[in-house]
Amino acid sequence: MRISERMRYDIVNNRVQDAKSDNANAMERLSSQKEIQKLSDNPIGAAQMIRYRDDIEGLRQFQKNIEYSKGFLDRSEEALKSISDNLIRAKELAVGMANDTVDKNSRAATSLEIREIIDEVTQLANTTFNGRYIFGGFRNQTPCLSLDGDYLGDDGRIFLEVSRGNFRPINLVGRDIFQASPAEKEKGHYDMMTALDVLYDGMMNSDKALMHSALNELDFQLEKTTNNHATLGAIGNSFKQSGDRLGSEEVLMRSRLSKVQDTDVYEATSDFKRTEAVLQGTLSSSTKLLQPSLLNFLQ
Amino acid sequence: MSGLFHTLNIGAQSLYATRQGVDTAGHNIANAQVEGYSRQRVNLTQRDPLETMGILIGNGAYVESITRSHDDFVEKQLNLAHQESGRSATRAEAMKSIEEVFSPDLSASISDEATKFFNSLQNLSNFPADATVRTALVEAGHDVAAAFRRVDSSLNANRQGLNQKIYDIAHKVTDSAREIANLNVKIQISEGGIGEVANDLRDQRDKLVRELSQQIEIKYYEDGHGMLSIRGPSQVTLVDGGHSCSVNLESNSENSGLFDVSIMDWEGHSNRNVTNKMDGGAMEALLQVRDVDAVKLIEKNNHMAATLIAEVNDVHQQGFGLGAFSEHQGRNFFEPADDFDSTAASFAVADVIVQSNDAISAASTANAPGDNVNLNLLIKLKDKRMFSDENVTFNGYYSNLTGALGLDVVRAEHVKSANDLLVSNINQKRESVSGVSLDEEAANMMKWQANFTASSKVITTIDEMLDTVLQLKR
Repeated sequence: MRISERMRYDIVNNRVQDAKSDNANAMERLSSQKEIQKLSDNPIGAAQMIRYRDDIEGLRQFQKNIEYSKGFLDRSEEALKSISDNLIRAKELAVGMANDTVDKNSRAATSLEIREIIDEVTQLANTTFNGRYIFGGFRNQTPCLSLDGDYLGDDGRIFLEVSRGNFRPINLVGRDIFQASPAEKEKGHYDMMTALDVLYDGMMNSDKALMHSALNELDFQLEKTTNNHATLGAIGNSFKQSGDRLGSEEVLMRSRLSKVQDTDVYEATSDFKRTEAVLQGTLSSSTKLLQPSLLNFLQ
Repeated sequence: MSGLFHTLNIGAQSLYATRQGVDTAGHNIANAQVEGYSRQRVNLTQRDPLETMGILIGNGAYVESITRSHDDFVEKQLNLAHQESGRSATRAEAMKSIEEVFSPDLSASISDEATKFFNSLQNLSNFPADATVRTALVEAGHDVAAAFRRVDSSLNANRQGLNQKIYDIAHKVTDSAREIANLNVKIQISEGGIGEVANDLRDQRDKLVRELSQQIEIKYYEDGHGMLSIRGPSQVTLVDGGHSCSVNLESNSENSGLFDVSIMDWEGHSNRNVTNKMDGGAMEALLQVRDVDAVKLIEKNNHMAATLIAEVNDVHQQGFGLGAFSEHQGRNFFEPADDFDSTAASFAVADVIVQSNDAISAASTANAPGDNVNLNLLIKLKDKRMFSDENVTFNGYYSNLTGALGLDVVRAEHVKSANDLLVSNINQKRESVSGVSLDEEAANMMKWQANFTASSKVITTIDEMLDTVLQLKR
């Protein structure tokens, strides 16, 4: 093939440009530590990157939700625990005072303590967390149990998403705790505060029959509270497990994202070295290619 | 009858011919780096012999012609390849600038902002009555809106930029066509009388044709007078002999006021609109990206915006707010667009929400500040398959869109590098035929120089012989 001057320069130019751009690419990858700078660097990878990032943010949010609800759940558990303690105390007092040896005056005196228990349980029912009445359902900006023991909240259950598409309740509705359902009422059960009021009345009036029926009712209330407590515990446990799982999922997802978007430093370094060598070789051979001409040898 | 003077004449002619050889070598060397130059060659021919006393005697040599080394076939191939490479290079460049709009490095992409928006909904679901968290949600809504608006305005700015390039190319084509027509005339004048080939003028014209073929689709042929006729898109005549067309631009109000391309003949009679009839060259690529690729992306962006606005509003309207809004439903979260084409451009959080964040409808029941049911319904939109016949989620749609765009860019780059390679191969072929080699020219110079020296020796020898003859008389 006949080689013209412009061909030689073009060849040299193209080769040097190619080597330079390869070298610059490798350097770019190395210095930015990013494998994908533009969509066209790896379109499929870029689309994956967008999905992974969204997934990771979602996982972090689920963990945040669980973290937020933890305080709420803990507070609810504490309140229920204290309510059980109070019910147990009331029951102990009732058992003690139901004895025939106890006189009317002692019962009247103990009734004051029952009154205090009633106040305390009312207060516990109106426990707040972050300004929210935790047993009030959705109407949780106002106290959920009146001084008369009436439930003022609603049946709202607060659901939070704890993993993709999985919404779990974090609250117990006060109505289930403090009020007897119609079915329970049919069986002759009372609301929690009514049970305590009956006990109070029995003590005040030294009415043993009343005290006995209150005592039975307290057993029922205690069992109900304990069941509710267990429900909360179960929610808390499952949240903890979800939280752990979310954490490891996030780690997995991050490593996937990193595989797509981050530079493999060893590979990029060796690429850089290689392209650098190519560039230097091209440059040094280029000067040799451009020099000789018959003119150099003419006198 | 030939004599010494005849031989002297042969020497002088030879001097002239060899000087012409050095001349041409000099011309070649001077043009060695000029683009489009074809090396020239001196063609020496023997003169017809003279018959003297029954013997045919050689009559020396003369310069018959100076021709350029040129291959019409390679030239045609090169122009075809240029047409493709002009298109693919321009397309790759234009697509790259669109690609930047959706760069994954961008932290404020639609996808990122949407993710943040949904996370703000989650936060509010935790604390439905918290004013600070409500404000954060409104901010996140503003950010989503801004991301959509940014994509829309960037794409439209890209279309404007491409439009400007179309303007530049239209003028280039008009100028090139005029210059080619001028050269047609010059070539006809220089070649017409004497049957010579105007090498340098033809080189210039070939170069212009090559440049023209990068810009716009052309077909050409040479008539009997050495004039080039060029036809452009849909067979419209660009150059005919000494006449050339002009490429005109008119803004098309149905296409956002962007230019339509039309070609008007030299008499100003017919003006053909060729906007959608291009096949090759940079012009086609620019029109294609401006009116198809960018428009599709703008439409997709609008579609995405419209769907998100509708879905969010549908759910939001079912809910109740706080305070003054705690018993009222039916509010939008995002302002619905007046028409589809301006959905992304006018994307904004609804006024009522901006004025009071109590208007955010978190609750599904009236007067329930702790109710987050409606928020949870909004959160579910994130996983809802709301696109492509309910097959693709919002984020899925966005990532598909960017993936497809990325593939388009990659394809454009592949086509470009393939065409670059083709052009460079054909160019090498052309250079191999037409390019100047300094070595060759140096050798030629030596050859002609030696010849020149020998020719002058002939003259001095004849001179001496004449002297000898003149001395006979003494």
